[in-house]
Amino acid sequence: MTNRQVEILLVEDNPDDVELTLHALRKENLANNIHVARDGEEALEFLFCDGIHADRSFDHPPKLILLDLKLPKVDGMEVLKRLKGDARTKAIPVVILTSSKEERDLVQGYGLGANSYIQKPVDFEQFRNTVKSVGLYWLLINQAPVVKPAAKSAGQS
Amino acid sequence: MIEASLDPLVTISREGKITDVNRATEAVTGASRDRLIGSDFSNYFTQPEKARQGYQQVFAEGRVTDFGLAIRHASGRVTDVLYNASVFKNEAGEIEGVFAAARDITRRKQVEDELRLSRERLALAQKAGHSGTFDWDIQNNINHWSAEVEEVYGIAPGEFGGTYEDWEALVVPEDLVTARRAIEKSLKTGEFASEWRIRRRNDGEIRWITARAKLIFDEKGQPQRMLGLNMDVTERKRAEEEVRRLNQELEQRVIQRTAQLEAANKELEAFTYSVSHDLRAPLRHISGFSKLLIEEFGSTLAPEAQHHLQRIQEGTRRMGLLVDDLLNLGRIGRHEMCLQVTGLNSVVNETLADLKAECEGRQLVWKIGSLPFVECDPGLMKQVFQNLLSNAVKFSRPRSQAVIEVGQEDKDGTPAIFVRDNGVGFSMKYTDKLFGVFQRLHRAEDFEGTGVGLATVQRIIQKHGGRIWAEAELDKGATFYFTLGISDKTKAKTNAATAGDQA
Repeated sequence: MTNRQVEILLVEDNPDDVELTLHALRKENLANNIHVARDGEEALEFLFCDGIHADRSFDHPPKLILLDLKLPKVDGMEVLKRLKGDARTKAIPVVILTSSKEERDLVQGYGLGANSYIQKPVDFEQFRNTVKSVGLYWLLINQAPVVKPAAKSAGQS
Repeated sequence: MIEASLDPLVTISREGKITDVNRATEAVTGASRDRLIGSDFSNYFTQPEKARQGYQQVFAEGRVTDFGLAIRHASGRVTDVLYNASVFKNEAGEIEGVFAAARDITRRKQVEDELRLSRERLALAQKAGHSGTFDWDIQNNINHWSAEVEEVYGIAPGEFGGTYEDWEALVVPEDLVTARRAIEKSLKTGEFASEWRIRRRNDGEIRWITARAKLIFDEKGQPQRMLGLNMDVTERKRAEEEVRRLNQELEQRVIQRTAQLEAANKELEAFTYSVSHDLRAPLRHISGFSKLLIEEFGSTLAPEAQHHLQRIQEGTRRMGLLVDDLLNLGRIGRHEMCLQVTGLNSVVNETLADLKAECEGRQLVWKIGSLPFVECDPGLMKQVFQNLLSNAVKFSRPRSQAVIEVGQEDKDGTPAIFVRDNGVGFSMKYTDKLFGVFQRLHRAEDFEGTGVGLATVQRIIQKHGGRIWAEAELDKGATFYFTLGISDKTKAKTNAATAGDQA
């Protein structure tokens, strides 16, 4: 496996949140194949193999996207809208992980096709448990979608 | 025949003495026949002199007709009469006296007076009402106006030309079309009603006229006359215009204020949203990194340092609760109420299930009475009971056996829901602070809390058009009462669920 497959795309602009999230995932050995996008634009380039990620291929979609909503350049809702609106990326599970539980964000998020919506708990213990549960569920328990035959063969090579 | 007459009849001698009378004369004078005969006839009139003149006239001319006099009754009552009198002669052809017959015209005079009076009143009313009558002979085109209509049109009395065209000349040209149309229509319907402006002839002022009239048709159905009223309604029109202008201004102001309010609301919404997002994030980081510090380096830290870190942890936890409670309070203000007929007993039951953890290890006696079905937002109502019941549980903690009662009671004629505990209570002098945000009546070491709960409850109750208040005594427990203003049409049906459910 030369091209190590990214399992989680973490879209998060706040370095403290990135660190705490990685810390929580690392504890469960879920942080090995993770890519962090620090704004919405980079997340889109990563997913659509464009810009600084032009060398990536659609054959290796992440198994899970952890998406913050308040992001520089392109915000989380826009990222969600673009990737759920594209046949090549719409099957990737998206978990919104945000500070807000405003009703309009919930409604809009699910409306755009988010698979889950989680408010980051203030208490770190709860936060860690939440991240752990999310990671375990989507990476180990959940059966990932088969995006393309090409993706499968690439994974097997 | 003389006796039978209802008119007073009398014969008088040449000397002016009454020689005979009938009953009617007795009645009208109030004097008996015996008294009347032989007395001077002129004694019985209000104007004896005029009576004697009339008497002389009879002798001079042989007769008088419709000679007006007034007879005075013994009681003072006066009867207006008209006399017809003539001389009568004996067999020798000599004039012997006068025969006079009176006709009572009091009633006729009254009617005439009344008619005159009502004509005067009508004229006065027309003048006061800036209105007058017109009578238009359509076939001959003669339009007769009362003096009042002339005045309304600014024309000197009797100066109106008297034709349809003379009227048209006074009307503002733009208004003629509608007025003509109304006339045409009235020729078919028989009813005329229209409005137009005139240029008043004397001062050129533009005035508003309202007209109402009825048409009179001949037997062939041809319109003959139009009879009606013209009224100057300029003042009313001006007042109406003023009212319309004020209404528009008011509407404009309401729109403005609403827009301002909406803007303020939006701003508040944006504020709470950013608080929700921005305040929670750094809090989470403080909590996270201090936790990691304890976990990863705790063993190398002095016990005092570990204690400080614990305080940081506790502080962030409390601030987290505070932020969440505040956000919730803000959300209630914006929340669109979703009203449903809800049985309050089931809301209480759900709440009790949620409170299980808080009640663990406590000796608690619940007395849940029968609560009504009310129209409310069930989610918000649950928050009310969550706060009130968890307060009751919390503040009764020092009691070896806490008793918490929920029920309905009549308070000043209004049914109120109450939650009562036998806990530590509070002094009534702080009752006005009870529902303020961040207001706490107990020390944080004794009873935990953010000071937002009762403010939230009050906001919810007010949103339902109700009222909340408390009665308490220090160390003797507290009772919270609330009413719901929203129509509780289903109130009559008391809840089927009973206190037994709580056991």
